[in-house]
Amino acid sequence: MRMRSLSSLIAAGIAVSIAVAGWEGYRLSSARDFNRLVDSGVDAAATQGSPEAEFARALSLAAHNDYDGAVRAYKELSRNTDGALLQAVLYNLGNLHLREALQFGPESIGKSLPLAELSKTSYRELLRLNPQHWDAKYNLERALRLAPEREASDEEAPPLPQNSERAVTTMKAFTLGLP
Amino acid sequence: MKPLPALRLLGTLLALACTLPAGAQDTRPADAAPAPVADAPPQPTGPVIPPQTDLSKPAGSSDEAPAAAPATPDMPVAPATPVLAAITPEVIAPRPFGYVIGDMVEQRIALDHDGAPIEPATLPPLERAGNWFERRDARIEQDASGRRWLVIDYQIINVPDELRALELPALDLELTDGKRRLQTTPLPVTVAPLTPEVVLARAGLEAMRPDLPAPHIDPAPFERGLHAALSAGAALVGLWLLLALLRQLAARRRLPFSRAQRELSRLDSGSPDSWRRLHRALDDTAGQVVRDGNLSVLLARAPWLAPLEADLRRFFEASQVRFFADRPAGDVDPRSLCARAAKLERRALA
Repeated sequence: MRMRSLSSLIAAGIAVSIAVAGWEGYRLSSARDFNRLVDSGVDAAATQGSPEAEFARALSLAAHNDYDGAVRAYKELSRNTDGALLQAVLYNLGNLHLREALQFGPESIGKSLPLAELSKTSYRELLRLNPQHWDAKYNLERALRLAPEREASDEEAPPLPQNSERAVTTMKAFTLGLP
Repeated sequence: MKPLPALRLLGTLLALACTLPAGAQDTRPADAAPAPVADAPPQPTGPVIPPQTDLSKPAGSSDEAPAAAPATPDMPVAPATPVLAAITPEVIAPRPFGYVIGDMVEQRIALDHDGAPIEPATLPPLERAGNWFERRDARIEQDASGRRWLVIDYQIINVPDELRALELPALDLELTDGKRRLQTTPLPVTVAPLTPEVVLARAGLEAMRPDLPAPHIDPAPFERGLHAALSAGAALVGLWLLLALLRQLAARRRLPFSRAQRELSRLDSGSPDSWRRLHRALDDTAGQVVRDGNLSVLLARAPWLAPLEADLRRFFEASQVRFFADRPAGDVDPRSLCARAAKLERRALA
């Protein structure tokens, strides 16, 4: 009877493994379908329901200049993902803000500055997770060119040293006391 | 090009203004009284460089950081305030050059002084440290030789317009003994920008790096899961078949009809021994001697024999004739009946 029970147990295990194999096969098939859709076009991939598909949807919104929609989609994703996908979300979110800020440019600093600050926050959060993300480094630096963070001492213009080129006595094309 | 007269005049005035303080000091008479000493001790105007001497000695020792100048008759005595002695432990400085934005810089500070361990009361806070760095992590580690280190990770989060030497912030932490402070000096590192101020607008060097494309879903985990499930299923099927085989073999050795079937294969079907062997198998199954009259006892004990009830009755009648009337037993074959009973028996019990 013990062998009979063992046989029943093994039969149950066979049933479970068949069920798991079916589930994994379904997921594998879905993943391959999604990858084919991504290769054929982002909009098609946006119809699926996975986090990667949500990412594709946000990318599609950004491509169609729907800034607010894309920001919402990326923010939602940033709360529910991790790992490489989270890094991609933070990077693209930073790009979204920076692209918008660059459209306004330094001429409309009132509009571009908050967007540049948002992009810097995203890039810095990403670099905290992955200090080797070179594209994020590049774009953070571009954001800092647009909205620099100067040292307080630079802003206050401290007294210059006597041998500084900016001192009147050593300024080029200026001769003190001569006509 | 000659400067304009107004600009020259402005330059002259500026130069005079720059040289005025020095000139005023120089014109002070040599025998003039020194400037009055303020009540409070003089405060440093620049970064404080901690003393290099051992200041962990008890208060009052000569090399301890002075709290105030010694009292003199014509100087008011300030109330004594506790001053924590500063110690400067060994610091492993990071590589001082070649950094760009986002890079991590690690500083290691030995947690011992004069051979005795020291313990900071608190770790430095994880926050932005000045204009260029952010303190990402601060932890205490022990190296292979057992020496303890305070390890601080800084990340460069801002970048100057051109290559420039920046200073990792100095540290000033109180120790757990409440009498001393751990102090480090600023450490220079050079940081350079990655991009020119004006965009080159060439391939890969535009105003910003492009978006990342939608990521592919990695199918590898699903493939691994599928393979694992199929492998486990195949292994379980093999195990199940092996177990079924073992059960059949065990049943053939253990069950009454299966044992009788094996022995009957060696006997003549019409011999008395073959009839007796089948009787014994029936008795073993019922746990008592079975006759035509108490066949119900056998069927109650072994209900899987119910399909053979009619055949068993014919067997008992034929057996009566075979052994006691001394006549032929008709068409009853003990061997085939036993084989059918053994098959039902194994299906029910094996």
